[in-house]
Amino acid sequence: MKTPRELILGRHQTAGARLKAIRAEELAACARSAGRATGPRQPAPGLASAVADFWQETFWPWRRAWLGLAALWVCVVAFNLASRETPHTAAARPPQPNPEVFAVLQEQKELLTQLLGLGAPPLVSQPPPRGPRSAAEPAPAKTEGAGSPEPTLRPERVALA
Amino acid sequence: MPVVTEDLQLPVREARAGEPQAWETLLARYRLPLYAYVYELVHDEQTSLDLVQESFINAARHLHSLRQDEKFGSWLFNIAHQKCLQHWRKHHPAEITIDPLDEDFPELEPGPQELLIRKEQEEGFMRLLDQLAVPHRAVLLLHFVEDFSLEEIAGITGAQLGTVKSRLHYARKALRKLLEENEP
Repeated sequence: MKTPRELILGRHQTAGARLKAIRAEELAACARSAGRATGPRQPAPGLASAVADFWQETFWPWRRAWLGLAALWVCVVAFNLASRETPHTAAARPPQPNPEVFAVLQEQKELLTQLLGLGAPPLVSQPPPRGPRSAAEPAPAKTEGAGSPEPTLRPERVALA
Repeated sequence: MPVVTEDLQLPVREARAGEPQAWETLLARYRLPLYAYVYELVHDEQTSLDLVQESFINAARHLHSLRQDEKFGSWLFNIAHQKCLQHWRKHHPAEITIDPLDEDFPELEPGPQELLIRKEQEEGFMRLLDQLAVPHRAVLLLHFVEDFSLEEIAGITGAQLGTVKSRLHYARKALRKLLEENEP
C-alpha cells in the first residue's frame, strides 16, 4: 500500500541523478548577486516602513491603474487651463479699429464739416486740403453793398474761432 | 518515505544570504517533488528538467522578495507553475481548458496521507492522473505531492478558492470511483 505521494515521487526517482545537475553553488551565487543588487533586507523603521508597505501593497499591484488615473488628471488640468486662457487673452487684447469703419467716420466728419459750413468748428484738427473748385460748383454769392467780396473762411480760421 | 517533511527548519534566510549549504538543503527537499509536479504536467523529461532548473534559478534571483520564509515551498511551486503555463501557451495552447461553474463543496475530503493505493491500483491511478484535464491534474498533484492547503493551491495556480475546491472535488471523485472499481 502506498500513498499517492509515494507513488508519484517513486515514478520519478530515476530522474534524481539528472536533477543533480542543478548546482547549489550556482544558485547561491545567483542569490548573492541578486542580494547585492537589491541591498540587504532590513526592516525600515516607522514612517518609512509604512510608506514602503503602502507602496508595495496599495500602489505597486495597481500601478497601471494609478498611472492611468494620473494621466487622466493631467489631461483634465491641461484642458481646464487651456479653456481658461482664451477669455483672458481676449479681454486683455485692445480692440482693433476697423479700417473701413474708420474711413467711413472720416468721410462723415468731412460731410459734417461741409454741412455745418462756417459757424461750426471742424471735428478734425487737420481737415483734408481743399482741391481746386470745379466749374460746376457755384461761386459764392456777393453781398449787396459790400465793396469787396467777403473772403471765404479758411479751415484754420474756423478752428481758431 | 516521509509524507511531507516539515518546512519550519528550512534555511531560507541563509539561502538568501547566498550560502551554498542552504541551497543544497533546499534542493534536496524540493528537487524531486518539483520535478514530479512539472513532469506530470508537461510529460517531457528534458522540458521538465529545464523548467525545474529555471524555477530554481528564478527563486535564487528573487528570493529577497519573499516576505514570509515559511511560504518558500508554495512560492517555489508557483514559480514552476508559471513556467509550465508559459510552456503550454507556447506549445499546447488548446490544453488549457476552462472549468465549468465554480461551486462550493464540503471540505470533508480525507487528507492525501489517508488515501492508500494498493499495488494493483497503482497503474490505474497514474493512468487516471494522466487522463485528467491539466487544471484538475495540477490541483490534485499539489494536494497529493506537497499537501498544500486549498488557499496555497489557489495561490500557486492563480485560481479562485472556489475553483480549486471544485477541481479537487472532481479529481478526488474520479479517483475514488477508480479505486472502488478495482476493489477485490
